[in-house]
Amino acid sequence: MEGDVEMAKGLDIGTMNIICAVKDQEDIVFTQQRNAFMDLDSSDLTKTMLDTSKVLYIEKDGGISLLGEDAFKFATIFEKQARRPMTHGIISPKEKEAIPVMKLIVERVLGKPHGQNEVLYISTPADPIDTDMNVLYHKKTMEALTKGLKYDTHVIDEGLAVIYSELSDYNFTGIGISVGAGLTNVTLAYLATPLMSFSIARGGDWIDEQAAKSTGMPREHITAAKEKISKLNKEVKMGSVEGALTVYYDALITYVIKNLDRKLAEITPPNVAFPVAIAGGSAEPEGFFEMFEKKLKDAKLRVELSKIKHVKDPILSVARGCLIAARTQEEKRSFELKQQKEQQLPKVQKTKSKK
Amino acid sequence: MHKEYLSDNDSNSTKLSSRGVSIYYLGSAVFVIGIGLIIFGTALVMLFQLHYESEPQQILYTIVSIATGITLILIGINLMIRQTKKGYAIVAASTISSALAIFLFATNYLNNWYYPLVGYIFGLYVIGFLALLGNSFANVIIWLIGNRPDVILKEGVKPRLYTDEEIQRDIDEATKKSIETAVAELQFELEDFPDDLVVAKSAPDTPGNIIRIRDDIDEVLNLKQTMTHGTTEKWGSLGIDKASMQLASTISKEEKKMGFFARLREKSAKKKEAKRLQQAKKKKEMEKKKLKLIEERRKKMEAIKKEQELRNRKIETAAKKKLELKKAQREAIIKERELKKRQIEAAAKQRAELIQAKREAEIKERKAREKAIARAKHQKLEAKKALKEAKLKKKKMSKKNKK
Repeated sequence: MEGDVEMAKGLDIGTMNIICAVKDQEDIVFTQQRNAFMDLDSSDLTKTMLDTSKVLYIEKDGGISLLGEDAFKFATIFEKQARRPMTHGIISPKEKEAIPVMKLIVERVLGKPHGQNEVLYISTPADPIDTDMNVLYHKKTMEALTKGLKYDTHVIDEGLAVIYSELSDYNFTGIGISVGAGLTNVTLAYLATPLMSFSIARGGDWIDEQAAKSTGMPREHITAAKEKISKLNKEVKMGSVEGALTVYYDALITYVIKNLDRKLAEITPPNVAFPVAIAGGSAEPEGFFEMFEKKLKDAKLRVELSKIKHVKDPILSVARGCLIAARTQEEKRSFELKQQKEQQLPKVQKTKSKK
Repeated sequence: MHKEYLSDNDSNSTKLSSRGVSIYYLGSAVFVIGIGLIIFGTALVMLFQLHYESEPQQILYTIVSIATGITLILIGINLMIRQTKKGYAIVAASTISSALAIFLFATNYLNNWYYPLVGYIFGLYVIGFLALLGNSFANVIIWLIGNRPDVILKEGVKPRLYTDEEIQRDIDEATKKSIETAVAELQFELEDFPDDLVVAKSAPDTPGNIIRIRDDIDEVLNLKQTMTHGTTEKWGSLGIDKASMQLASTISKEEKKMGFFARLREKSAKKKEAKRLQQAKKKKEMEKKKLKLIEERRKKMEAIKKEQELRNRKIETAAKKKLELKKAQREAIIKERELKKRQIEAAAKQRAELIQAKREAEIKERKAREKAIARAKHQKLEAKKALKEAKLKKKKMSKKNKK
């Protein structure tokens, strides 16, 4: 199988999930892992139990840290809070173990490169407009982390990755929105060139937090309920999680659209109708798209909207966009290499003839 | 005539039109012709030694050529200078006025050359002349003023004042740029893992949740095309340059080695080769054309085929619809018939049932009647019997009594 896998990978480094996309013959293989860890007291019994159930963990200072999906599951079972290496789309400054934990998760998800300097595109957030936060340090850290794994790393905005993944039919012109756990990223691109990129410091986590406050339930329960929710609906039982989630999803969408309109006022976009693609892990619940579509239509933005595209797998869209960018770069690079070789050929012949 | 050289934005302060090169050349040509005519007129003055008593024809030719020359010079100057739309209109009007004056002079001189006609014609010419002169002068002045940097600003336009928000944005951008530069210069050294951190020995086999989706990601090609759209590949020219340089050096070396006749032979061979190549090229082009024609024919055939298919499909659908309609009609008729039949049958059944009921009622009635008759008969017989018995009893009693 290894031989069939083509060079170039896409990696979506999100607050909640780390997803790697790689092309394998006619398929795309996505490897998804939760970007979370959870501490447990260390004992021989616990270790044996974890070893037998093949759970990924690390030992440190006499304690154990479960990583990935298992950390999340155990947190829900023990009604504890899973720790997150990233918060609001960037490496959490509060977590000391953030970088080693993320390195381990990324290493496992990404695997070893298939060749020397395999092209890798990683998604990073754009600078948020509603909070004093800079994503440059995070970008650089992630770049260094993946470069350390011998990849030829390139960075791409999450919103642009959505455009690459979903708006190919529109010549990569349009608005890409990625509703993640930590941030909501928005990019407006014209012919694959980003004209405006920004993020909003609200996403799935904000919804969970608000819903948890409203219902008095732990955040983990809300997150789990959010992932299992059948549909965002306004007709719900009194005091139910679904009701709170619907309300805060509605608030988030309104907030995103208002900020988008505000940012659009700062630029002069080309006079074309822009399609919109909405993706991201927090765009998964059924009814979210319809809600967004309705709000967008009612908002009457400063630009004309042609179509609001329903993304099939919103959670995988960013990773797919990264993979598309990586494969394009890979093809471009191989083409340039070919050209260089062809250019060097006469030189070699000349030196040979001189000799 | 000069519409293409006129600026659309006529409302700006200078109101000067953008101009093409051709109009400048036209102006120059007209100017040169004008000078030529004046020289010609002057030559005629010298030639005819013009005075009050010269022949009218001589005077006419000389004046016409000089007057036309002066007008043409002024038109030429006007065409060479940047003009506003109004300027071009003035040039056109004054040209017409001057030309009319010259024409009237040529037609009326000598025979009708009396006042007030002389005054009118002279006046018309002077108006045209002054308008052309004034227009050129005015436009030169406007152009000179327009080029002064201190008068470029529109009247009433105040110098831009930056708001606090804009200043803050500028500061933020500068800070961001500085952070970007600092971060770009950062060199991270990634350690494997801290010493006190041990990874579990038996990690799971799969690195995470694996999702496999059938996807060709054609977007890669689209993205490549979108990103490289319109760029020129430098390789081609560079490669050709190098190849031609090499070829030239090789040829020059060989030429040096070869003798005169050998070179001649080489030349003729080259010519032949060039001819052959040309022929091959022509052949290739012909083949290409043929292929193109074949392809076009194929496309046409395909289009016709498609059209036919479409027509056939239409006919088929129409026939199907007709059949379906007929079928539906037939079914409706059958249903109707069945309904009628059922109605008739139901009516017959009802009637039969009625008759049957009637008959049964009659039979019942008859039977009842017969029963009543029989009962009456029986009662009569019994009465008779009783009478007889009574009579017998009476007889017996009477016999007893008699005894």
